[in-house]
Amino acid sequence: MKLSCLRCGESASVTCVQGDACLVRRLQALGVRPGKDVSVIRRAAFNGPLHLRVGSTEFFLRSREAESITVQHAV
Amino acid sequence: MPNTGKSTLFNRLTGASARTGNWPGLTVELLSARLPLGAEMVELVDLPGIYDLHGMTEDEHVVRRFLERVPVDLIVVVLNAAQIDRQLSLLLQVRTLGLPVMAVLNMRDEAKRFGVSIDVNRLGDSLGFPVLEISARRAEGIGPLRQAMGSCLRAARPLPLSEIAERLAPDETIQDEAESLLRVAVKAPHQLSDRMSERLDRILLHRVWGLPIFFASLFLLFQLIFTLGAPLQDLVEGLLVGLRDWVAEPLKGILPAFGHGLLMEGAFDGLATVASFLPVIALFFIVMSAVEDSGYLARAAFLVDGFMGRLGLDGRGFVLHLFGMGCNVPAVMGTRVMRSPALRALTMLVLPFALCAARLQVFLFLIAALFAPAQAAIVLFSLYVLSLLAAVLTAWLFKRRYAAIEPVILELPPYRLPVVGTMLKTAWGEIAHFLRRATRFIVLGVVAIWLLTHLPWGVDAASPESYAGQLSAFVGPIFAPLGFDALLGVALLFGFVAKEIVLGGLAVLYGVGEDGLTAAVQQHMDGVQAYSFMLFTLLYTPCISTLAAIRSESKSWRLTLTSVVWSVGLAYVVSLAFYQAARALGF
Repeated sequence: MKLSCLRCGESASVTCVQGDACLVRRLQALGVRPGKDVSVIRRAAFNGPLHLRVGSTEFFLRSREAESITVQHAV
Repeated sequence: MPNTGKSTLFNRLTGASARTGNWPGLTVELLSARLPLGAEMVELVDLPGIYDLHGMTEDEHVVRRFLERVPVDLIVVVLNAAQIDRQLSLLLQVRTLGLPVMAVLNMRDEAKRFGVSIDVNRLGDSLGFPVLEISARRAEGIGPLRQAMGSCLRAARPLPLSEIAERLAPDETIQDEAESLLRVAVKAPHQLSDRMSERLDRILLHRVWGLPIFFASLFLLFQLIFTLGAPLQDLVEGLLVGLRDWVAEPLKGILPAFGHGLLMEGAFDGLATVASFLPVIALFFIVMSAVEDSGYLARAAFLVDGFMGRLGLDGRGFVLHLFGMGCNVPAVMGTRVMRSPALRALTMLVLPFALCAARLQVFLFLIAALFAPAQAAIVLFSLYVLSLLAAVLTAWLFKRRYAAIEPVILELPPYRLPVVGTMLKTAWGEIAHFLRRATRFIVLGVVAIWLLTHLPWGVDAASPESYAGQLSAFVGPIFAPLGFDALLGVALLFGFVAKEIVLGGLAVLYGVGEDGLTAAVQQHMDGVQAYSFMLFTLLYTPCISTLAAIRSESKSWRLTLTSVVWSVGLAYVVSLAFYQAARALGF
């Protein structure tokens, strides 16, 4: 499923990152790679961006960018 | 890597005042400084932070171009120790270039807070070059770093690099190598979190309360600057009056009257008016650098991004707007972090509405002269709110012409306590910058105004026959519906060069010293006129330096011209509406 489907406080394992090459690289540099766990910490008001954590790195991105990340619940 | 404290480390090593910022890509121009290392003098260059060497972003291009053109003796790669799990790949990429390299793992104090421990010796042995752990903010490990850099340099032979792209190893290979290195040398808890940041975020990034808290803290900070600044300002004013008496009286006998007037009433009084605001400006920059350093600005970007998205902007634009409250010029240059030209153009059109320190001076003076102390902070805050509203209106009107889609991804660094030394250094850098501007534009502007009021030869100062009088007769009717007297119009014309001139120019136009300006202003305008004048000063045209920055960043005369025409038009309409409405309501 898409990362944007996760609820706040949930975490899941990244299975695939696709989209614009530049966006993919940027996400990889922040640690978003297949096999890594990503958690959604919160979502800002006004349909704002998602606050994410991967390892020790925290960042935010917009829902549109979150669409390009596919995740899977940890089994 | 961005956000790893390169600039802070650069400052520590060189003692220079490179501006440091908790904001990816703030270091946009290459700073360099000479640094003695052992027996040699070397030149240290602060390159922009990058994620990799593929050259997809502006900053990566800069680094690649630099490495291809300039033969370097040693590359010092600065990484964030707490985030070594994802930053090691850059180091491995740089290693494939075949240049002498060493690695600095900065922020070891934060890594400790996260529970990350790194075996630097083992890492260094596997990599084949020195790896050091330091904390630039706390000045830990700087001495050993200097020594290591010195011994690396002695062994180094500079190599010319040809095509970087051909030398890079495939990403997969690098990723595998990084993983295996991490396994042997780094111990980190599975789920990393920094309790303090997490707890603070729960309050400061609250869905409902986050934004009100942010604006309330801004308001309190401005209140603080105002309260602390006032007595300091009186002190500086006192000193300047003393200086004037000490210098002016003896000169009276030596110089002819015209020369004495030009020097003392023109240059000195104009400059003194501006200089008396130095304490407030310095406080402003100290406070801003503390906020910048704390990690709160990136959070502010998070909070407002949803709203900014509707205006065709993003959270970074908002943070640049806050920077613009120091000076619009670096904020305009800071738009380089955006890749889409349309988004940059729209942001540049909005930024000049940020209430910069130069305008702040004019407002502080007029507010102190014409409003009761209890109202002062509210009047000032209303101007900040209006500057934001003007920015919002501009974005909303122009967003269709400059429509852009750009991915927005921004790091949220852990909260950091500001370090006094860094704050003071930043503030000093800004004051030095301000003084340089003062000596160039402001003195010239004020002297030009003095000449206008005293020429042609033999007229009474600022009389209708003087050039200033003729000019004011010409511009007077234009500004009369806004409630300004004609001389204010002349000061505004010169404010186009630099807004600081407005105040210094007024002192000269009214023919009073810096200490007499308050009385002169009280005599020439009331509260309503002053507010109308402040509205106009707030909104009308970006100053020449800002326009030059917009022109050179956008390479577009059209955008530059749009910026002038739109802002002057808006200023006129807003002031007119305010003044006429206030008078109609009987104020």
